[in-house]
Amino acid sequence: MKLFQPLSSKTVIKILLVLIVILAFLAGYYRTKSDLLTQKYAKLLERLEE
Amino acid sequence: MRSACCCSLRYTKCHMKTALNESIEQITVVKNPSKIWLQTLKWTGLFICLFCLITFLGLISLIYLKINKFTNLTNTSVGELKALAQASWQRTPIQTDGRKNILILGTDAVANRDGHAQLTDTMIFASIDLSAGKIYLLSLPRDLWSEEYKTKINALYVYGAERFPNSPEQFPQLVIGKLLNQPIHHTLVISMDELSQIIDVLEGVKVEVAQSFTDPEFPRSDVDISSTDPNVLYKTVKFTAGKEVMNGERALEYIRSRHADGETGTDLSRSQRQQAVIQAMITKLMQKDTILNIDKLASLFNLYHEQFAQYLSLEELGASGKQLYKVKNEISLEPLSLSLYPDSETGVIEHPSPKLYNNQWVYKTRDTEMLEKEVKEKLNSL
Repeated sequence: MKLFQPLSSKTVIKILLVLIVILAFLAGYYRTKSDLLTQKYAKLLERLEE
Repeated sequence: MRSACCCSLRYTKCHMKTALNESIEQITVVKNPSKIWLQTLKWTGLFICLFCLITFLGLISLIYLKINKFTNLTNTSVGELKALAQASWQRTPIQTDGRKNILILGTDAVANRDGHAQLTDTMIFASIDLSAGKIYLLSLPRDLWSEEYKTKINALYVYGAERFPNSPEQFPQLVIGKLLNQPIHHTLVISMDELSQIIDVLEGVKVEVAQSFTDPEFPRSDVDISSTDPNVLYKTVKFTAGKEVMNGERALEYIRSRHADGETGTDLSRSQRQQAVIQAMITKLMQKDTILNIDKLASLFNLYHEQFAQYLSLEELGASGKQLYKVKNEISLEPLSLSLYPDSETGVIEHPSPKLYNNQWVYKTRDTEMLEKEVKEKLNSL
């Protein structure tokens, strides 16, 4: 028996889709986090100027 | 004084730092956690669209590159390929009662033997049920005698060259069609060299060797046949039962061998070996690593275009392939042979005394109707 069986095209597409969703979620999560930090430091700057 | 000043500065710095940290801690962006998640989901959706678009564009580029490579390797244009695909798509394959019948003639024109008549030592009647995906391969013994033309059927192709100089395959097509009482839509003539080339393009085929055998008198293809020394003319070939990946040369040895001891040296065993190789070739042709490999596909396309398109056009092949693709999971091969008397009481062919046939070793039909009936039954056995 082969150690690595070749994957069927359906499996490859499924794996690709799952990877896309995970990557997109991570990208979305860090994009939101970065937005919040930007807002936070913008306010800090405002205060410092005051 | 200096140290007191330093201490005071350090205290002020420290105080400012603490104040700044407190200030940062105090700043909270007023936002509802559910809104944050909503924002995250929105971004996730956007990124999914973006990644899908990138993947889609990547796939389009890959397909474009593959088509480009294929057209370069086959010296065709995209327009020609498109026209071929369209013609295949619109065409209904030539068939009778849902079946396409092809006569496969294997000529033994090996190197250094060009002057010899091209006898068709391999004769297979293939009947393809296009709607059910069943492929029947009926091997015809090369020594089968044609009463009408007083010759063995393996010589019909040679006589065809006199009757139909432009398409000698028409003669065996007519005679065998009449003998089996089956319509034959196409006749494919394939030489042993071409078969070997196809197998090499496929990078070998996995053949199930049914029985071990040794042939001590296998004819060498690369020698001067005017020599009388058996060591020059012949070599020994050995096969062991089990699966074996064969290249073109080895596969030819397997299907051409006829001097092994016992049952494996018979014509029947030889035709079974031929069917096994054809089976292995069809299996390899349908594998993904063949279909998706542009180099292999282009080489096969070129070979087919040069050697076989005259017998079965690419459009016709595409149209038949399209119909078979609908039942791709049902495709199966059924090797068949004619029953032999007295091995079988109801055998349809027998081996008569050679004296009656100019000392030739032949098979003759016992009863034409019985043979037709058996062929009909066997072609509907699955």
